Amino acid sequence: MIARLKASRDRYVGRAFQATGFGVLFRTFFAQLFTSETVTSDVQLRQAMMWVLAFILTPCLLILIQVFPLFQLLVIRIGRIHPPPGVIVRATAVRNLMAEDMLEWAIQVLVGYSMVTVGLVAVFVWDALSFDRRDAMVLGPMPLRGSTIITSKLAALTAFLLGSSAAVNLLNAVVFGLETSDQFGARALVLHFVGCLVVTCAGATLVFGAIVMIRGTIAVIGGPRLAAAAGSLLQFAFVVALLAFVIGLFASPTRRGRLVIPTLTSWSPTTWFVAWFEVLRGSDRGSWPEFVALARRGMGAVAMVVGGAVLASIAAFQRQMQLALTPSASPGPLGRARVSRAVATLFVPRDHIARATSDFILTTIARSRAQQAPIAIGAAVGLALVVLGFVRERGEIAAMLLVVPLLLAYWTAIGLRASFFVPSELAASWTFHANAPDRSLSYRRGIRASIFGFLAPGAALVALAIGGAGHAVRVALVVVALANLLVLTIDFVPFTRAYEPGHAKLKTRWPLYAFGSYAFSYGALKIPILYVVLGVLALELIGRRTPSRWSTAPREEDFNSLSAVTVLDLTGGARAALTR
Amino acid sequence: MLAIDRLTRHYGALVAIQDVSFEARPGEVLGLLGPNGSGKSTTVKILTGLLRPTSGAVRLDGADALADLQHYKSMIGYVPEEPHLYSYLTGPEYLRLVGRLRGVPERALDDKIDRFLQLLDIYDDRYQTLSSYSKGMRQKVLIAAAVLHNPRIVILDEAFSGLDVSAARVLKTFVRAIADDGKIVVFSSHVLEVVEQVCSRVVILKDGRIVGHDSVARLRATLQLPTLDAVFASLVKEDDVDSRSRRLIEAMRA
Ligand SMILES: Nc1ncnc2c1ncn2[C@@H]1O[C@H](COP(=O)(O)OP(=O)(O)OP(=O)(O)O)[C@@H](O)[C@H]1O
Ligand SMILES: [Mg+2]
Repeated sequence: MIARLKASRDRYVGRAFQATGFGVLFRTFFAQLFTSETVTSDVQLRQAMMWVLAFILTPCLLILIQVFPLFQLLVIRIGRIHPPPGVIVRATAVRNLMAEDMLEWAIQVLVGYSMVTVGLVAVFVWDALSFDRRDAMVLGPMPLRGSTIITSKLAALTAFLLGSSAAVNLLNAVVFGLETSDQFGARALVLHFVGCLVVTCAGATLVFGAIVMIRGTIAVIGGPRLAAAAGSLLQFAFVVALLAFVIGLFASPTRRGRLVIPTLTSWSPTTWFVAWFEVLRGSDRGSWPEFVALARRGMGAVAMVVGGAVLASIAAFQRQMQLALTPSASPGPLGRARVSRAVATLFVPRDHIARATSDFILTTIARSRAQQAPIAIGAAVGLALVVLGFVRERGEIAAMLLVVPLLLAYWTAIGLRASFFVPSELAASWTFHANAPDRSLSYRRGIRASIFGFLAPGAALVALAIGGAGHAVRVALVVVALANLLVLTIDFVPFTRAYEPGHAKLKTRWPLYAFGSYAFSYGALKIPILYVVLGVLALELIGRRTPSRWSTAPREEDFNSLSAVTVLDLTGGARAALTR
Repeated sequence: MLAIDRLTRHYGALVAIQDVSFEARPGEVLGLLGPNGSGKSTTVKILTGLLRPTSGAVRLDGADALADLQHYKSMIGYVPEEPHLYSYLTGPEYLRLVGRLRGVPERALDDKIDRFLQLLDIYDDRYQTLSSYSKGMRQKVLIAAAVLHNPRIVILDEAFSGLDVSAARVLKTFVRAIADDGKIVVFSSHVLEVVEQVCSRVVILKDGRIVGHDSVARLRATLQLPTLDAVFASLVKEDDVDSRSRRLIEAMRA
């Protein structure tokens, strides 16, 4: 009797757990999308993302606001002049066509923007998009059904998608609806608003689903290293895409003519969504068969990608559960940064502390994604500026080409410096503190060598290909100057100092970065090479003279927070569910 | 000889250790024993120069050691309590980093590292990053890193936690041998058997104060108790183990 009661109680408790298990897991997975291994580095990463987004959001709105007056001019019917009726009919027809083209153009911009932005947000939370081995290790022993775990993960991803696409698209849809409908009445307002919101969110879903699908597939067939590499690559690609998108808009704010040309543009997802929008708002074009077909293709694609993402997530979970039971496979070759390390060593041949420091920096960067993200953002900004330069200076391609390695090196260096502030190795900072002198010029030399080793080989190679040996030498010298300058702003062993809130002073410092960008690229090209050499020497002297505030010692408050660095609250969440 | 004199350390209002004094001589292993939170790690961190005492002094051969911290640190090998290592480096890379920071000659270094890895049974894992090492493997790396530069003073804080039986046996003998080699060894632990086997003298800490300080044999004799376990229990006055475990069971069921 008692045994039976107990059994039924256990079953009841089990069911209760299944019920709360979903909620707890959902919240945990959702939170995972906002926290990474090191809280502090994550704060930085997200700040970087925020400024990229803020930088992009404003131009997009501006452009739309620029375009809408044109649109309204087209749709306002002018009653005062009295040309012959035939002319009026023809002019109105042409005007209507132009207005519709412009509407489609605006929708296409919004859809493209939504796809790129939500894609960027998704690749920034790349690691949390699927299951990894640790999830399986932690959740495997818990009394949870696989289906509960998978549904809660998918629910968390859906909530994240909805939240981010609402954040990105809601305002745009409101502006779009208001601006395009004031001559057409309330029905048009609702249709334009809803249509815009639906297709922009559908575009976002398409990209997000595709990224989740790729992430899941990699979790099934590849290892963590492939996942990391693909993640970095996608992050870089999306930052470049976003910047290129905005620059493209600046370069040609409006485009006349039809977008949906069945034989030419039917491959492009944005066209599907434009057609879908026409169908949704019930326009003339929306009833054309080719528009309907394209809209169907868009819906089909979204459905397929969502289905694929779900399947990939299920497969990934099962695969990770399998892997958690087997011992870890022996890893392949690790990133070793051989070339950069060798070059850095040339810089500090006999200084063992400097060599240790630069080796540590370069090896960590070669393997750590937390460090690679800011570097990739920096490089992407450089690349975008290169593109911008080519768009602007159509006449002087040759001069622009010479600038390319310098511009890329400068912005990569800015990203590299930012990566030094990502405190992913904070907990191990005692190693330097316990094993090496607290202050020494060697650290500075080591960091400088690592900056040079990281940037110089690539930059000099590009320069050699573009402008020959002389140019390569000049670029290498400029990189030395840059390294000398940047190292003056670092007074700690990279990656091992706690993040100070409010440190990223981009808002106030951007003129400095912009000036540097000019000085180290266009400026450095114009002055005689002797001056570059003198600049390097001057910086070297300053570096030796300035009393360094250097210390490997963690500050007292860091010491206390050392143990509070890692958070992956899966265990906590699941435990809370169990004890409830 | 390494002596500490009336060390006191406060963390804000909390007094972690108070008036702790003892000496460690070359050729012997000094044990630091005490329950959780008794101040062992705090003492050890001050001994290694990582933490400044609120008051009190550390003396090496009669001179104030903390005055020339850099020189003092160069003579110390330290195994910390928690195995936080640079997660993106492999074992050998980490040891090379420490070796270079310590100024071990480049030529000797690689050979030394290989020998350590082989003797500690982690040679096969030399291509993996430390983030994938198990706790015991990390502990081995830490121990190797601590003695790589042949230091005069070796300070170990819970050095054997996570080690398997055979590794622990080897390393216990190794620690004794380091002392026999004429070095100063301070060994902090709360595992009594290990302390009993490894240490020649023990300092017993409770709530940041010394409650016992003598050779293992003498402590046993004066208190007329058969084992260090019993000595420890009587000195730190643990309350009844049985009733405590019974109450734990009740809490678990609640
Ligand atoms: N960084 C810190 N900030 C505040 N209090 C601390 C800090 N480190 C230690 N303490 C406190 O100092 C006291 C002694 O801690 P300590 O780490 O020295 O103990 P321990 O003997 O090493 O314990 P265990 O056996 O658990 O390692 C404890 O009460 C602890 O709470
Ligand atoms: Mg301790």
